[in-house]
Amino acid sequence: MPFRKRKPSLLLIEDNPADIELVQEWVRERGLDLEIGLAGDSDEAMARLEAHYQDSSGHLPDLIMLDINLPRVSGLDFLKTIKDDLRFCRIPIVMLTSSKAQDDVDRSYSAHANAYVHKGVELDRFFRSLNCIYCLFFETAVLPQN
Amino acid sequence: MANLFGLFSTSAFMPHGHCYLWQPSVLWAQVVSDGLIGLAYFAIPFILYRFLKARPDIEFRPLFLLFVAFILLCGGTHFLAVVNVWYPFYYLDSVLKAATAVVSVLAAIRLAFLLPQIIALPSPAALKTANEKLRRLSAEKEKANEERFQLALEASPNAILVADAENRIAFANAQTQHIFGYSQEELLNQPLDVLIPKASRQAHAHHVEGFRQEPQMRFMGAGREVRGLRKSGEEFPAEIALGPFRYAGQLNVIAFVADISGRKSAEDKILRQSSELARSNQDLESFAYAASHDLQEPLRGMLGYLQLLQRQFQKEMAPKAVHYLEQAIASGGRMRTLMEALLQYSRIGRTSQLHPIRLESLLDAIAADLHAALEECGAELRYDNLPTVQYDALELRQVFQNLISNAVKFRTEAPPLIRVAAEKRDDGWVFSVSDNGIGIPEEFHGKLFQLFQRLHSRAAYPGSGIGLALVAKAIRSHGGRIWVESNAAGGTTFYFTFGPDFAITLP
Repeated sequence: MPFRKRKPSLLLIEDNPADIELVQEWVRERGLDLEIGLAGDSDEAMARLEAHYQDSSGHLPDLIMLDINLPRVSGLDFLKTIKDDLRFCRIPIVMLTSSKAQDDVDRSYSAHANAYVHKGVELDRFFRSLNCIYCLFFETAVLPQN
Repeated sequence: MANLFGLFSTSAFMPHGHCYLWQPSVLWAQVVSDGLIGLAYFAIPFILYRFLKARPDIEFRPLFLLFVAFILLCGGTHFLAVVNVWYPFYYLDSVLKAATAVVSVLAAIRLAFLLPQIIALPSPAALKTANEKLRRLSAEKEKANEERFQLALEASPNAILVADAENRIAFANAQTQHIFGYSQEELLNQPLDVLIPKASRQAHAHHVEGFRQEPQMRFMGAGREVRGLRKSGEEFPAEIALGPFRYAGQLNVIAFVADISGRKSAEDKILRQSSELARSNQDLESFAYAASHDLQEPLRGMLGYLQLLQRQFQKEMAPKAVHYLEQAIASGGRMRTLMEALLQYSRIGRTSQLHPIRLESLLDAIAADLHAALEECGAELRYDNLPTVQYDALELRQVFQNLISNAVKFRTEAPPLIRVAAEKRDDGWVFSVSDNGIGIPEEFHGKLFQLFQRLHSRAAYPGSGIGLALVAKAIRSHGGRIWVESNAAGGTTFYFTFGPDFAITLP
């Protein structure tokens, strides 16, 4: 496991304020030391990634959580953009969405999403899902050097 | 031979000239007359021969032969009479006379027998009258035929035109005037082109040329649609059939032209309506899809905040406030269930992929899925001898799963007995799912397959009211039919068929 000298970071690409609030509440409730970047759409997300990439002192997020229902460019299209971009393609991406459509699931994995997680409506369930994601990507999996 | 020579024996007789006392006047009168008679008698058979040869229709030929023989023999006796004046061949004369007698008696008998038939032969005058009558009758008949033919042509709902070898109009029926606007007189001897729009003339000339090269009957509705030109300048869609016939050594073409503008506009209307319908269905589906997708987000937000409120502040709330909050969350949950169902419903038929599906394997899988629910109430699910169908796997699963779940849900006190069967009837396969449950009163059968239609209170039987709507859509969106037989006394059977295009094979 690589030595981490910095805070683990997460880029949450989500335009629903309630979901942003819930994720933030989950971090507070769990007392996690996690840096959360926020982007409301794909343009904002790309701008953030570009900024991280060009800033020599900064670093790319360790994980991206990506909603499918985004204004203008959909999460699925943005997923393809990222995975086609050599600078960012190694960042693990979890699709975090309310869509249960099998079509969305299949297309996400076809575009190399690293996981597809349904948000769920029960708060407890949603928090459990977030816990599992955190556990896998920040505590268990070995991540690429970005 | 001695006898034969005996015939020519003249001894003991004296020449016939003696009877005439060798008086030259009597003798020569006899000789010349007999000679001329003989000549005439010998000439007549040749004339008869020529006559019979020229008139093969003449009957009674054997009689004619007898006459020929009789005349020849008579001629012979007259010639012999000339000879006998100087040389008395009386034996020969006797034989000849005897032969003549036999033949002439035979001819007379034959003639007597044939007389009635000969009498029956019409006289030339009668024949002439009869012929005249016949000619008149046949002319009348021909005229009647022609009239009938003419009337048939005129009564035809199609324009009928005859074009001569130069593609000029040689005939046009009355309907031509109705369809094209030209009177029959106006059209006669006009080139066919006057009935064809300018833009199509070249192509038409080409077609006609092709037809003349290979003159075969061409029927209507053989996928060949042409355009006609009315006198008013208006164009119209037409269907045409062509038939070739030879007249006076020339290839004529008879053309049957049907004005299909009425049919065409009806077809266009139906096409337009069905495309409108398809579009409005499409709109409705994308609306349902988008609405349930997009409506999920604010609902999630609302429920999320309500749950945060509950989680963090419940302890500080009055019990009544806690109850209100719980009710609000429960209502939100129900709304979410409905929207998900709506989403599922809108997806049916949008993404169908057809594969061969063994119904028995599918039911095995469903039985495994529903195992707990079936076990709990002691339900029995029976099926065997089911065919393989070509269908969308997910949709077919929803059909059977919903119907079986309903059969379990709406059960009586008795353990449910659920039968899935397939039966090949005259007009195709009919599938059925039957149960011994509470039954459905007949007045509700019409509403059964409507979206969100529920027949029971939520407390009695929970549900979203979408199951049967989903089943019906999965069946109907592919052209199948679904219906129910049931009543309040209990027991329900759902029947359904698949669309005509779905291959169904026995295992």
